[in-house]
Amino acid sequence: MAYSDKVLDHYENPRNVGSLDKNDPNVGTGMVGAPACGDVMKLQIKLGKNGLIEDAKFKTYGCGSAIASSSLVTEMLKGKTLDEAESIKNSAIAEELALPPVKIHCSVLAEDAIKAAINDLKSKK
Amino acid sequence: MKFFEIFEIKPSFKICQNNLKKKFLELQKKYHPDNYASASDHEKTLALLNSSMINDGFEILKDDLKRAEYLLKCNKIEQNNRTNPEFLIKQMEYEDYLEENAHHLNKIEMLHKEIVQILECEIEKLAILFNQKNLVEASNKMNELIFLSKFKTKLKHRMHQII
Repeated sequence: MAYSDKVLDHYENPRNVGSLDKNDPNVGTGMVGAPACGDVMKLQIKLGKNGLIEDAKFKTYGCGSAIASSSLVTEMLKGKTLDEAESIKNSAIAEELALPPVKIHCSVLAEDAIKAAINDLKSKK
Repeated sequence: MKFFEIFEIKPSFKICQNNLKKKFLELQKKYHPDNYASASDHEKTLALLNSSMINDGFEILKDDLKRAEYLLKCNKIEQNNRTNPEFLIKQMEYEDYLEENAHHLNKIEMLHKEIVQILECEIEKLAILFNQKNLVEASNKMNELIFLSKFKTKLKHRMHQII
């Protein structure tokens, strides 16, 4: 199984790796994973005063597709409203990265991470 | 429960490794190709199939986690992907630690020791759950145990690479 160029690009040059202050009331943290597969993904979003996501960071341990999925998601999230962010589907991530069927679960994980981060943010309001 | 039957061991999580090994050697001998040199093709094939089944069974039964997975599967407990958020934080911390200390043999050895201890302790807890027939809880624990076991191997690899 070969990784697509896009996966490889995100894997080799991951965007927005790092973390935001999880105690900031405008930061939502989502932690998801599949321990048995060795995947763990932390996604953080920061909501700006205008109601748009102004920053997103991630840290992922796992396979190339899991890293690429979370890296891509941080790019997609910036500038979106929470409602728009919540409507991002795993199929859009999988399609953008041309993930093979055996790696679809990585995009599901990334979608779950977005939802978890948004829930965390909302629970702070 | 086929494998337990083959090895004549009562299906349970706690098993006697010595008995298993003894029975394994006995069965291996019984189906060894040398014993079938003058047998018919049909009997030869049968012996070969038995012999490979015995090997498969031994690999599963001798390993704590594989045996646990096998028992759960036999009891039709679906493996779930439910993950405890607290464990995910731990998992991330372990990975961060390994990344930060990738070249520090003594630090990796320390973490390896810690993981070995945690695994032993968690396997004891798993044994209690099996003993109480609390298979759903046992199944929930499996994800974490599989991670710890794989992570232990990963640390070991890293240690070998440094040396």
